[in-house]
Amino acid sequence: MGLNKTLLASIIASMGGGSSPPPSSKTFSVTLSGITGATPSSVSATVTIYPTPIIPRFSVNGTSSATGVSPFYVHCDASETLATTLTNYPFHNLLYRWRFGDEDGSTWQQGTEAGNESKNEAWGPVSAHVYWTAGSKTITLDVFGWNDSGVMFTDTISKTITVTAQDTVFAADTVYVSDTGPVAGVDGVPVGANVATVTTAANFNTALATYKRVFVRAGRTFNLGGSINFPNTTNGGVFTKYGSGANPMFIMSTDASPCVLNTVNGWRIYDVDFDDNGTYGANKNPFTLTAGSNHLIARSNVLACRIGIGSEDVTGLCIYECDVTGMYDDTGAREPGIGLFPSRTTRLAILGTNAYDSPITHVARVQGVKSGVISHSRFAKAGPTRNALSVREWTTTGFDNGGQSTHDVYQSCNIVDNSERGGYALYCGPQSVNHLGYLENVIAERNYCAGSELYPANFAVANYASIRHNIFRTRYSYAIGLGLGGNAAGSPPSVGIWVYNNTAYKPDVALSTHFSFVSLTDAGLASDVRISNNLIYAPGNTSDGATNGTEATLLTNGGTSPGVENTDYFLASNSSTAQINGVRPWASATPTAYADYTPSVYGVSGGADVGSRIDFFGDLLTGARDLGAINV
Amino acid sequence: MTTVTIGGRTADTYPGVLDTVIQQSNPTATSGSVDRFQVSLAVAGQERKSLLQFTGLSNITGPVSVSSVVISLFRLNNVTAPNRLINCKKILRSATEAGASWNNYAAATPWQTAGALGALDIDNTVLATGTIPSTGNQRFTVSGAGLTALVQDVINGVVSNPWLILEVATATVESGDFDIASTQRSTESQRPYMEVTFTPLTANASMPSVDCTKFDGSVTVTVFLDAPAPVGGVSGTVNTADITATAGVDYTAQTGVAFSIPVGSASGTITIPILPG
Repeated sequence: MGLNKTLLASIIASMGGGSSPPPSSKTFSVTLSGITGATPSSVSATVTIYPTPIIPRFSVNGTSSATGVSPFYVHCDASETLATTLTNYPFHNLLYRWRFGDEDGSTWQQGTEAGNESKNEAWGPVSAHVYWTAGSKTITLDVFGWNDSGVMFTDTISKTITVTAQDTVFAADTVYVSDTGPVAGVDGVPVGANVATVTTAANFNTALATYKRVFVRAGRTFNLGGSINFPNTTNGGVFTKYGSGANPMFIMSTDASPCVLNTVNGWRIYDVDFDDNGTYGANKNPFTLTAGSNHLIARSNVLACRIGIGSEDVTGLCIYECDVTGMYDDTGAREPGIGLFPSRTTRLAILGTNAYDSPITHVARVQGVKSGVISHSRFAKAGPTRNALSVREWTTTGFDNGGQSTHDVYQSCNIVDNSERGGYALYCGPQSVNHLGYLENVIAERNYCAGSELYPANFAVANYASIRHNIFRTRYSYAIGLGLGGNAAGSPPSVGIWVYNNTAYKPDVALSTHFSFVSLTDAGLASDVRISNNLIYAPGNTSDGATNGTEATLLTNGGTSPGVENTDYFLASNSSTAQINGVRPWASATPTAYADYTPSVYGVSGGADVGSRIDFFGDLLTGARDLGAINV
Repeated sequence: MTTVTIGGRTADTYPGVLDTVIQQSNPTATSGSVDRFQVSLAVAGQERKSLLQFTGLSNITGPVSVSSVVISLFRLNNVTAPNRLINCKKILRSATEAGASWNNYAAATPWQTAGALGALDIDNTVLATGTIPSTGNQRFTVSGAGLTALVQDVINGVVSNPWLILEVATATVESGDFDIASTQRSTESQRPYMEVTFTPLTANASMPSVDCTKFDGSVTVTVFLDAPAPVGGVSGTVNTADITATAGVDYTAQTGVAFSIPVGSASGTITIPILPG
């Protein structure tokens, strides 16, 4: 049994973490004096010697620290952490554990399955959290690394941030609004509060021109007839509900985006819902964000739309526990709908969100995202040949090298193409051929990816991708595709693609009788491609994914230059062909819950080194490496 | 911002211009002492190119930020003819005023390809352009961003001061073989000069603090300059002192260690051994 997080925490505690820099670090000064040829005559620096091979570093909302008003979204990025004697790829090969110091002890739902991961904790080099209450909060980052002998090192850094209560900032700038005369002291409106009667977008704009915090009465419906244009105010503002009952419903009664945030900063919009009133409109996009920074959209539901939540050129956006459904089909001249469409957005977080059923195109299309984290969310039922979650570079027209997606983490999501419409569930790669924009430093881990009539996942990442501890369930001929030779024509070939400790399962031969775990395309153009420690089970298949041979296999080479093992790609300690076709490696004949995939046989490999030590359920791997996503 | 001129006129800030012409029609001829030169292709196979070197740039002390460089030349012959476009490029040879000819860049030292055409002779990047005017007895200028950058690098000691070559922009034969006054011209006001506009920079040094681990073997501290090191470079002495670390246990002490940043560079590094502790 792997070391669980409780034991891991005890290790952390015993190592005395919690301050910055750690108490056991040492310092000395360096002085250059008697300078000639420049000023001043003397300069000095301090050298800090850390006691472990790890130098932990992180930023909060892009700065060394941060303060904000509740609910406060913090984005934490540890990609500056160094461990040069352990790894050249700290983003991928170190283990990052965040503790947010929040009293919120609730847990995430993991896709459609009840989860057990605390919201007060996160794993990975990029993370995010929302503080719903005010106070002084300490964010603690524990970083773990291992040397070639398997010896573990850890170091810790903490930062304290201040979350200010809304009433402290907005007490004099608050209004309670409803469509039927709100009265101070009644229905949740405090005595002495400012009140206003509003029915349309114009009324809301008037309220927002005067007040930074607008409370909308719960359970009421507003036919907007236009857009609410959120203004730029100091400390942003708050737009949410008051009183008991369902979220207030905003009806897009005309063809306009109800929430427009153009070059504004720091808005918190939560507990409000949107619907199109049953009529199509090309501009019925509940949230349209352009430029600006540090917005939180939380606990909002979209019932029908063209683009549920869209952003462009935004720095800092958190989509938290939202539910977006009912995207448009292309009936008549309708523009197909997308649930989530963040583009060229830095510091993006999509947490605990559900986006479901885009009849024609992608459910979520994420393009040009830097330092993003998507976790504990569900993306399902894409359109024909489209993706439940599509991660791409941003490309406008032709060749465009300005919109790479970099340093992004996609974890603990439920990504499913259950539409039987023939698209990838998860796609990471270029927009299309002949684009120079590309993805790099991508981590896809601990996701459940299920495909229907195509791969559960396809990766065409240019530089450095870790695909680990995922469960891939497929009915198609492959579990994952690796487009390595140019990632589609015109893009750079892949460097550093590491596929390890994944579980793949093809339960039946109804759709095809051939299967390979990986479809490896043009590996001869790629370098440092490692496929190891994967647990694969595909009973009853009579040929490989390309209909060659007599049984399912680990790998099918494709393309024009498939490459040579141990030269262009490396295989180690994966399921053997006999295992792929052999005894079921877990107990359940019909695995459905994630725990059903816990291996009972073939569970331990020969010990090939892997870069991460945490499994699908967050258990730490130690000693010999287990096969598959779940540690035993 | 300061503007100086380098030329052979009394009014110029600094002296120091060398010039000559090389002639395809007379490939062994040297013309360093002649009071005029030409940039022309008036007859097929008889191209003329001019070489100039502004040695007076050495009088400007770097580091500087150069915003403008203009070479001013005086066309002599007052005969109307079409404008002629000319290019200015950098010569890669250490030419001499007295020895340069179509065949040689210095006495008895041939170009790789006669006429300064070889890859070892010339950098064919166009640094500046100019137009010889259609009528004479007037000045014209040669300028361009490449020339400005080159002069800045010369003053700041990043590169040595090269010879420049002026040549026709196209191989099309055009009538007219107009003379341009050289430094040897008796009428002083007609002599060539270079006008340089620059802002003196004083390099400010900084040395950010750094982190390392006791497993790293060494740590590198970098000294940054916000402008290139001037002529003579930047120098100083490195010393370390314990704060909570102990020399000899955690790191190797540095005492009176000489440090330098060469002219033209913007940074230098100090490497200090880190001990396992």
